[in-house]
Amino acid sequence: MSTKSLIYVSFLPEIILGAFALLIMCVDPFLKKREKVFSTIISIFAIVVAFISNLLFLSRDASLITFNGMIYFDFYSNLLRGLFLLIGFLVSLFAFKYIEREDLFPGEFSSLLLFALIGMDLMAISANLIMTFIGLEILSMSTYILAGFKRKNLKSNESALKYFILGGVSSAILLYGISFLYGFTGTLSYRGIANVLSKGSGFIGSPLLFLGMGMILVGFGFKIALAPFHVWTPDVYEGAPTVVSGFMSVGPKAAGYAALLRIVFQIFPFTLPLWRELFVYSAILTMLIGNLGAIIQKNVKRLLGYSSIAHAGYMLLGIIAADVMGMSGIIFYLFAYLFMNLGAFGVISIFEGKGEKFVTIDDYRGIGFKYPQLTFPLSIFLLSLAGIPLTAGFVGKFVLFGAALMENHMGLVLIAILASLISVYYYLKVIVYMFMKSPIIEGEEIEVRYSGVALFSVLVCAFFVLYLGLFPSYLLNLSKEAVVFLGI
Amino acid sequence: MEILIYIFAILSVLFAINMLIQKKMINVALSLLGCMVSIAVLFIYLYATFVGMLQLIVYAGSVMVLFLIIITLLDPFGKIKYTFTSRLWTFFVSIIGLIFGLLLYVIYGSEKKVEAINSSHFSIKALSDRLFTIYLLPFEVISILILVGIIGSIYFGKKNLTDGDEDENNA
Amino acid sequence: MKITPDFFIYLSMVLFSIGLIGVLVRRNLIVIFMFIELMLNAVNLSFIAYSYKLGQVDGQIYVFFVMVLAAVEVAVGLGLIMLIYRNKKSLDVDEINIMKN
Repeated sequence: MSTKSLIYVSFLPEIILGAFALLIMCVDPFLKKREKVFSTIISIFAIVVAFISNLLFLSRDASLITFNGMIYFDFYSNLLRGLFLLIGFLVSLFAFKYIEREDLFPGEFSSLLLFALIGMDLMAISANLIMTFIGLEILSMSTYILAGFKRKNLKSNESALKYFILGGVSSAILLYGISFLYGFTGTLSYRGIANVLSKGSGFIGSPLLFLGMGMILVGFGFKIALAPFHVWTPDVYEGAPTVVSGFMSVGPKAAGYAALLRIVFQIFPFTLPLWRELFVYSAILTMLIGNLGAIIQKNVKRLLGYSSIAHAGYMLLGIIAADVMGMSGIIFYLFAYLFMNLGAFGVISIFEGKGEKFVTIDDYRGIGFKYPQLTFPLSIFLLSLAGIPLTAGFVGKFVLFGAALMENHMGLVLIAILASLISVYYYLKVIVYMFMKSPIIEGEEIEVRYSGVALFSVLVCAFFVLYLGLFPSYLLNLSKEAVVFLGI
Repeated sequence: MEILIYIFAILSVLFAINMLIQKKMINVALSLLGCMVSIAVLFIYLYATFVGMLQLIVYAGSVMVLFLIIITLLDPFGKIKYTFTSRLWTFFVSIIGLIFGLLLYVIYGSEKKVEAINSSHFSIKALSDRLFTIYLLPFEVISILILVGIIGSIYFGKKNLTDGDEDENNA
Repeated sequence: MKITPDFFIYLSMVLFSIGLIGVLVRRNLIVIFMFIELMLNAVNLSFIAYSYKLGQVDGQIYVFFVMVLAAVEVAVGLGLIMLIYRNKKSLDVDEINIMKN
């Protein structure tokens, strides 16, 4: 392949996604109400095509930088892009019925989802901080709009607003940090900054550098909901449309971690000892707040919101360990988390019914044996989130905790295990309500209407949760191969 | 010349502080406008002529007009609450003051080397050279951000024109 | 004699801090958005000052991208505010807060 075509190949999936998003916007106005589903189908098709093009042009042994030092073309990019496209695929499948039921606009939804995927891709593949920042903003802006997608619903409005204001402030802080880093090193490319920093050891202690990096970490901490910056999470997840909450709980988190891994290990590897302490405190706080907060929740979406904070904390252990095992553990956990959390949100979006009426745990009383095709997958997802053996969540936690243990973070691992023991309580509570409590006598009962597509995607998620739990080695090897490109 | 820059710098801070204490929305907006114009003058002094002009056109022109339109549409002269007297205020100011002090200390401690400045580095030609070669991809990709913004503002802004909304009203 | 770039960096810090205080203290939505704009302006000033200090034009290019972000943020944000005003008839953050633990 010539170098010129190689340049475009490195960016091909994003070009495909963008082109199809534009196509949707051109086609959608001409569709009648009945035919609006067509735009969702186009978006699914676009994601599949992008996935195939990603598979066709793998770069398994070389790391290239294309577009004048803007984009990495390596296996890490390929793998993470595959992860993001999977997220997009499953979310669009769940959105199929949901959009119709809630009378939303499929055209806007699917094109915004595709744009959000482009933003996520850019965060994972970029080789320059300004590119990362643009990706982050495309992702966040699309997510703000998706969070407020139910225009008449006050909760949805509020959720979008909270996300927007906090996101705006955090991106301003991130930018300010980037400007300090630029002033300090005179460049924003990952390699350039790393070169400047590796030259003089005198730089490491410099407070200005520390400040710039700290502000960048604060900006990313907002996106992945790390502890001091997590306050927005439960409210935003509760108010947003359920499918969008599912997307928000995995999408920005995965993209944030993808970018954070690159930044921490490609730009600041020399300064890692400085950060480890801070990361440790943040991880402890995140895990405890997430799990303790989830215990008292009555609303299932809110409960999963708190639990997603806790899971961000577990993943931080991989960065603290800072070796191949820890980082491949993060990527594996992102995959596992994608299937279990999206699956759980998918089932919730089916159960809640029109207008999101049934979202408290009490509504789930006694539905266990009525709808086994949905409750059994939901139980699998919840058990996996709790980290019960034979599921993907267990393997992910095992790898992450093991990596941290090998780097002698005994206390941290103990706290993490304690936190996941706490989490067993509230996940099991939902299962107990479903299978062992008697159904409500008065009042409305959950009435399930679902499409074959939604059931199919729930079953796919459940299958992968079990598959990754039983045979994790293939994906683990792939992630190990990918993180080598981060150059540890 | 330099004295003018000091004046504009002080003006920008004064405008910003004025934003904090004004009670009417329209006054806050006008203070922001003043602050932006003062900053544009500083840009031009720092050889960023083109960016300074953009600052005037984009911020002072379009962004402020958007703000003013919204304010006049909603509630132009209504007074707004703010927690000026509460303990919250002192708390935040002291926290931010602490951070600010730290920042000052940090910058003051850092190296103070000013390289010889060659103004031809900052010509519009040099800028567009870099923008359309090295930064071509970000320049193209950021159009997606604008597109997302357009979709978003239309989506939030449009009234009940579509069938989707009517159904929601009937339900 | 030229003013040193550090002066402008101090200035940007002052403006940024005022912007942050404003976001935290003010309770009106539109005003909060204005303070976010102020923070972004401070970032711009810092980029330009560093570009002057380093003798590079790159910093000015980054400002382009920040400006695009600011414009998009205002467009979407004000659309959202209009929507909320239509539904709730209020612009006060405390009154809009309906979800609580």
